Amino acid sequence: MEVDALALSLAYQLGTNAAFLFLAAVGLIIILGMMNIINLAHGELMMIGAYIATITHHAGLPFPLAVVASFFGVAFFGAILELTIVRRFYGRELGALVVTWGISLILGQGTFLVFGPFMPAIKIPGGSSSYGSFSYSHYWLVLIAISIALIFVLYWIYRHTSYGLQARATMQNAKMANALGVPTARVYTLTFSLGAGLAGLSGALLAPTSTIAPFMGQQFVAPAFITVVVGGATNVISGAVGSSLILSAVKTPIGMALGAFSGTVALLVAALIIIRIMPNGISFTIQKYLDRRRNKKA
Amino acid sequence: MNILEVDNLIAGYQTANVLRGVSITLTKGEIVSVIGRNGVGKTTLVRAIIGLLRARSGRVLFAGNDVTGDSADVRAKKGIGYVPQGREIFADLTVQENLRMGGFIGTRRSRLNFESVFEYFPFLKDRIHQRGGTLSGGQQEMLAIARALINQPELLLLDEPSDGVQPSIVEEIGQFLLHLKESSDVSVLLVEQNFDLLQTVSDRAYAMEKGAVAGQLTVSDINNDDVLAAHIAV
Repeated sequence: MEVDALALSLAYQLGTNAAFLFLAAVGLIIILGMMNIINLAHGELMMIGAYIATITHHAGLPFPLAVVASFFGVAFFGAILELTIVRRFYGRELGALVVTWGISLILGQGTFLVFGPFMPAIKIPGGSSSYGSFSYSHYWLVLIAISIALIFVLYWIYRHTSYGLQARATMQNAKMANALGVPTARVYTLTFSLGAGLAGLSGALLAPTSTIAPFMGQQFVAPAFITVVVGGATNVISGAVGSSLILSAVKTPIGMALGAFSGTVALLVAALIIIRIMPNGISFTIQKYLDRRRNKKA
Repeated sequence: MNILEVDNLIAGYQTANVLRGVSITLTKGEIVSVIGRNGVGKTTLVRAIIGLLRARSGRVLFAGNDVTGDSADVRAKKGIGYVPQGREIFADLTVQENLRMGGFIGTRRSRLNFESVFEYFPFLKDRIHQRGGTLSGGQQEMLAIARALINQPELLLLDEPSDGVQPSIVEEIGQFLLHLKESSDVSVLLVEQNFDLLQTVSDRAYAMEKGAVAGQLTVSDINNDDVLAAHIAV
C-alpha cells in the first residue's frame, strides 16, 4: 500500500471508530452525566431507533427522514418512560439500575415476540470510492460529519439555551435550582427524553451497518459504557468527545496492524489504564487543568 | 400593603414539627430580621416561605396572594429571591451563568441587567468567566445575593449572609443592604446572628423561640446589645 493511501486509510479508520464510539455513547452520557441514572436500557432505545428507521424506510420514507422520525419517536417514548417509571427512582442509583435493566429485558423480549428474530436490512446509503488502494464508504464519511455536527449542536444547547443552563444547574443542585424558579421535574423529563432521542438517532444511523434484530442493542452497550466511564461526567460533551478520540486512537492503528480483535483488546487495556490514572474521567482532568490556568491569569 | 404574610405556619421534617404556628408580616421596602438561638427554626421558616418545605398547616401570602400550595419554582417566578444559608452557588457554573440563573426569578423577562449588580459588586465583572466554586466564601455570598437580585424581585430572603464570611465583607453586605433600601422598594427578610449587621440594617425584628415568635423588637431594642444578646446568645 502506498504511503498516502495508508495515511488516508488510517485517518478514515480513526474517524469511523471515533464516530462509532461517540454515537453509541452520546445518549447514555447525557442521561448519566445530567441525571446520574445508569440507563441499562440504552441499547434497547438504540434498537427501537433502528426499528423505527427500518419500518418507516421500508414503508417508503427516505432514509434521512426515517432517521429524524427515530429521534422524535424514541424521544417521545423516553419522555413516557421518565414520567411513568424512571422518576420514581431519582436518588436511588441501584434502584434505577435495576429498573432500567428490567425495561431493557421487556423491550428486547417484547420486540422479539412482536417482530420475530430478524428485520429486513437497510442497504447502506451512498456508494464507495477509492483512492489508490484505499477505499472508503460515503456513508461513514456522513456519519463522521453528523457526529461532529452533533457535538456542536449539543455544546450550543448546553451552553447557550435556557434549557441547557437550567439542566446543568439542576444537575449540580436541584433544590437550589428549584428555589430560583426552575421547574426541575420538567427539566428531568426533557433531559431523559433528549438522551433517549439521541440513542434512537444513533440506533437509526448505525442500523444500515448492523443486523436489525431485537437484541442488536447489546453490541453497542459495552463500547458505550466504556466511552462514558473514560470520559467522566464533569463535562459531559468534552468527556464523550475526548474519550471517543483517545480510544479510537489506540484501537485503530493496532487494529489495522494486528487485526480487529487485537484492536478491541487494545481499546479495553487503554480504558483500564485511563480509568486507573484518571478515576474521574478525562473531562475532570481537563477541567482541573483549565481552572488552574485561569486562576493563574486572574 | 403587606408583601409577605405568614399566618400561623406549621411545618417541619419527618420526625417532628419545627415551626409551631409562626405568624409574621413584611410591608413593602422594609428590612425585617428574624433572630433567635440555633435550632429555633429560623432557617426552617425561610425554607417554608420559599416553598422548599411544605406547610403542614397555616398560610403563606405573597403580595396578597395565597402561595401555600405553590412549589418553590412557582413562588420564585412570582418574585421571591432566595439566598440560602451556605450560599449554594453553582460551583461548576461560571459567575455569569450563576447570575443568569437568577433570571428565572420574577416575572420580568427583559434582558438581564448585569451592570446593575456590577455596580454593587464590581469584582464580579472581572471574574465573570471564572467558575463559581473558585471564588472565596465572601465572594460567593455576594454572588448569591447578586443572583437573587438581578431580576429585581419584590422580596429577598437572606439566610445568615454573615455565616463563614470575614468581618470586612459582612460590613460591605450591610452597606449594600442600606443602599438597596434607599434605591429600590424591595423588602428583605433577614435571618441573622451578627450584631453589627442586625444593627446596621434592621427596621424591626422578630425574636423566635422553640418554633414560634416570642416577641418583636423595635430599632431601639435592636441597638441595645443586652436585649439582642438575651434573644441570641446561649
